[in-house]
Amino acid sequence: MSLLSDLQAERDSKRAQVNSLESTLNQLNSELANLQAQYNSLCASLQEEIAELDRRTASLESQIADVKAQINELKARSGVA
Amino acid sequence: MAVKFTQIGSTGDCAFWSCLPFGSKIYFGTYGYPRAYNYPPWTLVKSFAAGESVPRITSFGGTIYCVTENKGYIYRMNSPTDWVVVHDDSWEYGLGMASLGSYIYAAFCHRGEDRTKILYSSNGTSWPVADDWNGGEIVVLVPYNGKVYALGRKGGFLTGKTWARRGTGTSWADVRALCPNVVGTWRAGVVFNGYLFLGMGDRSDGKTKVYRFDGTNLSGELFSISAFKSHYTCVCNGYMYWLFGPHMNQGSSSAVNYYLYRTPTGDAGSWEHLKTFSVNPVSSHGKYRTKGCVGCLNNEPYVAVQNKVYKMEGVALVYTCPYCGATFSSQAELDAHIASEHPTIKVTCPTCHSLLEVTLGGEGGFGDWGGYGSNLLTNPSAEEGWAGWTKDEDGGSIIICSDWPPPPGATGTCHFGLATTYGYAIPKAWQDVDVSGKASLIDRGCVRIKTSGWRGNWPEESDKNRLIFEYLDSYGKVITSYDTGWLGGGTEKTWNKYEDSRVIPVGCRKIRVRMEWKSISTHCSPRWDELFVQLSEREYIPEPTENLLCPVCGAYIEKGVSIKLLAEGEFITQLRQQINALEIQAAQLEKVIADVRLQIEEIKAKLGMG
Repeated sequence: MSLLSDLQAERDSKRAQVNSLESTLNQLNSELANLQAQYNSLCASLQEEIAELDRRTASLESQIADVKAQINELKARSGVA
Repeated sequence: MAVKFTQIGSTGDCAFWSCLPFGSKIYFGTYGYPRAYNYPPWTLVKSFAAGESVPRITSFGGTIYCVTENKGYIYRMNSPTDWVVVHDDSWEYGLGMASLGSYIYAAFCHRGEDRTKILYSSNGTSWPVADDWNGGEIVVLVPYNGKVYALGRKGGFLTGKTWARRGTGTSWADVRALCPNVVGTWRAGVVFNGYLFLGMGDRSDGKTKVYRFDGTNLSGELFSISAFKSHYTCVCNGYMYWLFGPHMNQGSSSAVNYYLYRTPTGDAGSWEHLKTFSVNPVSSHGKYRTKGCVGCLNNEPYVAVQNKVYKMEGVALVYTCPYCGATFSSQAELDAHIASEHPTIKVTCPTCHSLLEVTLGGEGGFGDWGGYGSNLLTNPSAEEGWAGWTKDEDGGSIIICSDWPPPPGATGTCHFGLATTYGYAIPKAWQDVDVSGKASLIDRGCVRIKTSGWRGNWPEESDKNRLIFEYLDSYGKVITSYDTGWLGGGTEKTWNKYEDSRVIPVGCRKIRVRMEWKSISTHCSPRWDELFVQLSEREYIPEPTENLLCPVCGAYIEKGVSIKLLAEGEFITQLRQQINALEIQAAQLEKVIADVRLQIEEIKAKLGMG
């Protein structure tokens, strides 16, 4: 009876440990999900900013090209080589 | 027995004396002034021309007839509100009435004399004398085994001896077995389960006794009660009902008792008291009078006591939770409640027989369906005549016939058929299959049924028959049914099989198989043959969550189907296996948790939350 009782107590203890671990895992999974959501949101925001900067860079490069073209045209008219 | 009686009708007259189901209604005849009522709905259909009472109503030739007392009239019903006098007798007391084969019989007594005559008629209009019996009084006529039994008394009231005659047409003789040397009167008789049951009243010991007659021998007593006489009897839904009560004439209006009993067999010890009615006799024709009767319509019993008629209904059983006292209307609802609120079951320890509780882990499950068993019907293909079947020919005639080739796979040559019927008559025959022994399995949805029958078609549009399998609860109420509906028509004599299968509904305790016929012609003959009722079962499997150690004797009990006893070594092995499995599960969880923690740290670092 003692062996059986000990084994049953150990079984019950292990079952309680498993239940506790399952509970901990659930909490951590929940925390992880929240952090991943924050991270994903931040990444999305950064990507939007990068995209905007890319658009502005392209626009400035276009303006620079126009100015360079105008300078070259003026040089040609004035006989400056 | 939980029953209730709901009043469905009454009369301003003294009492009801007789009743008869016919078509879709039950008819009642009165004492005080002769009137007829029917139900449903409760309706006064006729106040007769003259007289005192309607002692008996009988069906014949597709309609009903009645006799009246203190005016020796016989009436025939043309329609519920149109009755005509078909015989006016100088003998004032019409008492008994019955039909058998091609004849209807009526018994009349002569005022002031111990003398009875029986009239008979084949057409309902001409009533010659069948028997003129000088020496006693016939109270009731009952057809049984091909003869009409005239039951009553030889000699004067309260001094004469119980006596009976039987016969057909004009051939009548005393039935010696029914003429014991006992002061009294046969007051009521009814055919049930192949026997003629008789109630003997007017006895010097103040008791009424019931006996059984098999055509040759009288046996009993089967039942005895302190009451002056049996007022009336009938058969309803597998039971024989008897109403016992007081002497017709009372000296005052002081309350008297009527006793309603029923029995499924008639055997001694099987009689169930349903209700004692304590009522006041009503003054009529110079005295305080008592009368009552019992009848049956659509498998539901009706009882009339004095001037009120009641319908008897079963009261739904209350299923009480053994743990919290909550009540439910079915075993299934109680089971669902226990499974959700008290997830335990009781298990008997196989070693010390202690009652133990085991925690349930689910709703339980089912094993596989077993094969169908043998046919549960007695005489399913008419090879033994009508053995096992109860007939109500309703004024027509149903027969065993063998003039057609049998249906495919038939076990014999005979069929159940119809000889004649008229008008609204619906001859029928039925047989009950008792499944109450499987109640616990049925109420868990563990019994399946397969029913079938072969129908022989008679190619006349007006000739129809139907087959019904009714699933009845313990009170005889129909829970559900399989009904072929009225079948007929076509141009050929053909056999067709009708079949059904289903899980027997929760609460079902009896299956009634009923064949019916109808026709407006007189030569029809649709058939039924090869009827089957077969059952198949599956096991209910409780689902306890874990093994059990009996706290009384220390035996080890395994969860699952069989709740079987384990050896100690097996039990220890199982415990260790469980511990090992839990340890592995815990280790896996810890690893997963570590991984998740790592992911969380990485994300926090990326987010600058470190």
